[in-house]
Amino acid sequence: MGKCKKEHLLGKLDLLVLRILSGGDTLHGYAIAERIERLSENVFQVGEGTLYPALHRMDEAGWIHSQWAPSDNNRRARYYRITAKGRRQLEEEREGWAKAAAAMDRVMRLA
Amino acid sequence: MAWYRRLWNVLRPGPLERDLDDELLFHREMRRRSLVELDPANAEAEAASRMGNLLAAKDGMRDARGVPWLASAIQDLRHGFVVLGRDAAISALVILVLALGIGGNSAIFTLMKSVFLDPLPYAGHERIVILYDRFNGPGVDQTGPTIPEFVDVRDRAHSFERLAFLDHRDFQLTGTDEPVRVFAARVTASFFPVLGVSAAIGRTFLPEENFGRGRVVVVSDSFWRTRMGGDSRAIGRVLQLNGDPCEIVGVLPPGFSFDYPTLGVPEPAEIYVPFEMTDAYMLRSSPYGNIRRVLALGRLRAGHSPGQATAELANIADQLASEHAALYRGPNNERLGFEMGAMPLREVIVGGHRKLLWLLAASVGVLLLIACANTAQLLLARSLKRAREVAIRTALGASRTRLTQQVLLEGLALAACGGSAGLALAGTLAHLLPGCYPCGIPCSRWRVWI
Repeated sequence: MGKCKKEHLLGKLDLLVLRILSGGDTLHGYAIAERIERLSENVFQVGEGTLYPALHRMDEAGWIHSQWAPSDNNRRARYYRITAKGRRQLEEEREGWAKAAAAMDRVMRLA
Repeated sequence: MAWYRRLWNVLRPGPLERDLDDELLFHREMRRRSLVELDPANAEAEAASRMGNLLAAKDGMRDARGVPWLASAIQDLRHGFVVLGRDAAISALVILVLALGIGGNSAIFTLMKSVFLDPLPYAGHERIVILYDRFNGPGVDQTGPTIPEFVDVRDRAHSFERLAFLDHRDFQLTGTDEPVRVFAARVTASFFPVLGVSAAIGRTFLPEENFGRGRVVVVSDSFWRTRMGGDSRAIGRVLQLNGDPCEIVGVLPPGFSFDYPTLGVPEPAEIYVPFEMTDAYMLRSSPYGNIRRVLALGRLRAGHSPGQATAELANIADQLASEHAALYRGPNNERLGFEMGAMPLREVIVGGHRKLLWLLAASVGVLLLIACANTAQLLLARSLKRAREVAIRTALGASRTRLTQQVLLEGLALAACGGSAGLALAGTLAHLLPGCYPCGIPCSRWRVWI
């Protein structure tokens, strides 16, 4: 039960990250987490325990590309940007999500 | 990223770990800063309390960047060796038992391979057959043909490309300090071509040399090395054999021999001389013609099987029995059941050893089974002692697969040690075995087969 829920959320996290990066910005992990939290008005709390594994998984899959660069707090940081493959993935996931959400909505209204 | 990059991350985790640490520390630093703005007093504690989260993150990242199953396998293997060391006595016992089982099997298999599978050291060896006579009446199973029979077969049979025969004799070698005995094979000129062998230096015999034209001798490589010091001008030198001067015309290549005990050759032939085809041997009417039996061999024509050759020889034997009825009848004029046939060289060489070798193989097979049972028992005993460790691991969240993997990898570590010890043992055994073997082993090469 718990596992199923976790996978469910992980899938959506990919979608959120791709959507954030699809604007063309190059962002580090903290900024991505912050944006997700801000845009969802703190409904989604993105912990680093889920965010970073997801980022690295997506990097391995070739959806996003990472690069080290100096940051403003004297540490080097890893910055991520979306790739062409990532954009295609985003479209796919977005469609899937739209369908699922619409279906969910219809069922809830019926109830 | 390519798979080899991920593999590299598992094998050399240093740089990856540094990257992951840097990234997470940066994250933590940023979070601390943002918290300071909100609540300076509790910022540090709040950031630190998320440390556990960071560890989980690092595990996840490492899995994404590496090959998780390989990483855990390496970890388990390492742990496996630690456990081996902890129970040194049991481990040593298991390794010993496995080494004996595996070593015995490898050694016997090496033996069987060289006897049954390795090619004999003659070009096109599968076409070489041995000719035999059989007398069903008195129950003489297999004996060599007489020379008149051989000559008839050579004239009438079509299955053979070439036929040859040889017998063996002692010679006195004189002309050196004191006379020595040398063991010689007397061969037809066709003997070397039938075996597909040519001289390393000089030549082998010419057909006319079987008819007493010029006394010549071909020496083996070992004779040439030990008795002539590997003289490069050996060709043309004269050996005094039984008082007759014989000119050396050839030296055979190293490793050549046709001295299988199962063929009735008691010791290695050092020199080869042409068989003298005198009437005393060649004619049925002469005193020795029907008594002297020789070791006859032939090279089958391409596409002819030993079975076809045997059928043809049986036919010829029938002809001979009716042409020379007196010779092939017993004292009371009864039929002797005379037959001739051809048998593949390997069959003749391996012959009676076959059963013994299979018996040996079966017994070491059983030994290996016993070794397996013993090992299983010892490991079972050890696993009882480790119930506590397993309980702790389960409590800490180790999955069933992970526990199974760990046990299997420990077994693998043990088996690898036992296996390599076994192969080392097999190497020694394989060299000792031919010496213990009762009647010489029909093979020329020894290599451990893994």
